[in-house]
Amino acid sequence: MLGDSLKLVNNILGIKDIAAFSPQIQLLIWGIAILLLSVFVKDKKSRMNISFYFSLLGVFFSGWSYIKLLRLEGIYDGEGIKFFNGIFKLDGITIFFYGIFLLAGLLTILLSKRFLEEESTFESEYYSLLLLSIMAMMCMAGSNDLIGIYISLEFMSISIYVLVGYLRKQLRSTEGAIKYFILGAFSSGLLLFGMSFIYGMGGTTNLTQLFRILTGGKSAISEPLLVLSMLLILAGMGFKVAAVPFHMWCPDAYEGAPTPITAFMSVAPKAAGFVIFIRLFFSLFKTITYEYVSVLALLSIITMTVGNVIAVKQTNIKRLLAYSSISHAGFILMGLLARNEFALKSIGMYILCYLFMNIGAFAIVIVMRRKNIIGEELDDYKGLIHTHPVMASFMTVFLLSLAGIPPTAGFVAKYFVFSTVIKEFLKSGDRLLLYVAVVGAINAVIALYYYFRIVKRMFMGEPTKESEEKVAVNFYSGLSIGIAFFFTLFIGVYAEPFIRFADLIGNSFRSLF
Amino acid sequence: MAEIIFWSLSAIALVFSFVVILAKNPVRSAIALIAVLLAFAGLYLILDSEFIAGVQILVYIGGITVLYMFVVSMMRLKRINVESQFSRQWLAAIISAIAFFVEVIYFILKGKDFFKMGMNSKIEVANGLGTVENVGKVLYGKYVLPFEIATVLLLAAIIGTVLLAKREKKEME
Repeated sequence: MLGDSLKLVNNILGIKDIAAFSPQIQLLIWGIAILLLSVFVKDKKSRMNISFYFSLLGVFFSGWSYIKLLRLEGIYDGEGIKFFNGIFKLDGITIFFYGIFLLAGLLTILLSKRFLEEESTFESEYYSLLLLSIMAMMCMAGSNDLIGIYISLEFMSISIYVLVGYLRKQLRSTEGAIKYFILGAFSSGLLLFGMSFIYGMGGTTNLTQLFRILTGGKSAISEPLLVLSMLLILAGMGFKVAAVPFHMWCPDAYEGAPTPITAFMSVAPKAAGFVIFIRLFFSLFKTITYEYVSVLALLSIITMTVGNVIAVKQTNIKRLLAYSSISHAGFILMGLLARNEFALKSIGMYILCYLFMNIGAFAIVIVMRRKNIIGEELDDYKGLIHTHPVMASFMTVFLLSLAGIPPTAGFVAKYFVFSTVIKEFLKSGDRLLLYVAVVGAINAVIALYYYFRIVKRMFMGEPTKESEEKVAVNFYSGLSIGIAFFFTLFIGVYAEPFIRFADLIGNSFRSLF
Repeated sequence: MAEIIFWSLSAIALVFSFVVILAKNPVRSAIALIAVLLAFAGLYLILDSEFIAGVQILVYIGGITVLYMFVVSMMRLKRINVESQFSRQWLAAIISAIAFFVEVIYFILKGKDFFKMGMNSKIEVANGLGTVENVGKVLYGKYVLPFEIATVLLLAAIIGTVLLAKREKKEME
């Protein structure tokens, strides 16, 4: 009896499985260590500093295990390696997104220190939940099973809901958190509904097996039900990436959240959402072409347009960037229209570039925040070039990149997404794809207008008295801005190494099946 | 025998469902809800899913309904008693409920060919599929990873609750 149980344990939890999970385990350990700190370190100020270093260590050690995983054989070819009875998979996609999440986490943690000091509010749970949410996203990226996807999605969402409401003395933080929570719970319901249909048709939750059953060409699969479940999952995931009919929570949550968290959630959970898009839509719903392309094209068009058009009118920079991030989700959705290797690569490339430029823009917003001036209104940026020339020029580069102007990363990102759509149009001749590309191009122009509203204020406006006050950039936020700035320019000038990094995800196209 | 139990449990569930929505006193509604959920637990037992029956009692009755009771007892009951328990949209609600009901009935009767479910699953319902033992084996065997992730999820939820609910101490200078 005992022997049997031991054998069972050995079967389900080999040391290999745990080793494959080590980046997540590192984050978990450090996340809990930060919580335990409050027992040992009573002084709030030193606890704040130690938690900050601990969370950096957490990301560092997680990254170290991640680099060790890179050398694991068999990740990059064909199917990838499966762990935990096929529930967890390490392939190029997983590896690529691990990198994205860790980078986003690192930049966010670096930015958080100054923000928390400025807000003079600190609880150790902040860093702990941040690490846990990165862990959740990593679990999401590797999940090869509907249950795994759902559980880690919920895990990620719960951590982020709490982080959005972190400034609990501020009304708008609480408001944003509640809106996000209620709509998020609703969207999870939709997602789960769609997944249950798939389970009903396939009789299993494993994606690999489901793919064989659902696309095996058996007549027993009912097409309408498959389409229905695809739409439900699309709606559920649409909430998570803030695509347009499902974007209502986004501006409020972004505005209310602590700004480093806004930067984080505009990139990482969005990327995590797109992993699920890739894992489900590229494989399970492969047989549905017409509905997929038309629905997704429509979604992409309205996401881009609505996000951009509303952004034009915003006066709060966090809300403006929130709407701009909605429109960027639309651009990434464009990349999903073609389901081939190049499309995968273009999505990866877009998310990689978007990571640096968006966190960079938010980083400037964080740094501009001072005690007596909130620094979130557009008018606070008037004449920034006279008062803080370095910040102003960094901001200009990030905004140029977000708009997609050539020597920056944003251009490379947009180039890849557009060429995906155009290539697919040339191949399939579907006019809809051409329209998507045209609308995308128009939107790039609209985006340029509202990004330049900020630039114009910075360069042409007269500085007000309050905004002349010095900005104290500490080393860590400076480092974060520096990293974002460097990569934003570097990708734009010399994209080759990053394209090769994005090839990781493109090459594991076959592992989706 | 099983049929008698099925019909009587269903009748109990139906009657108490009406009590839930018709009772003026929210406490009475909550108690009736317990009866409904218990009847459902019985129905699960008939289907040989003892695990789901147990979870139904533990989670829904032990957790969720008790939560309702807390909420009810924390609100001022007198005010609620005066208010009508029907909202202004009751007509629209009734129409859409009936429409949905008709739809469901239609699909149960006619939808078999349209929505083919479960035709491809090779898994046959083995004896004792829903027993605690088998559920445990699957949970700790095949699905051990989601199970472990769920434990961390709960940890995150607890941390979050504590963070959002704890009282503000002295502010940092």
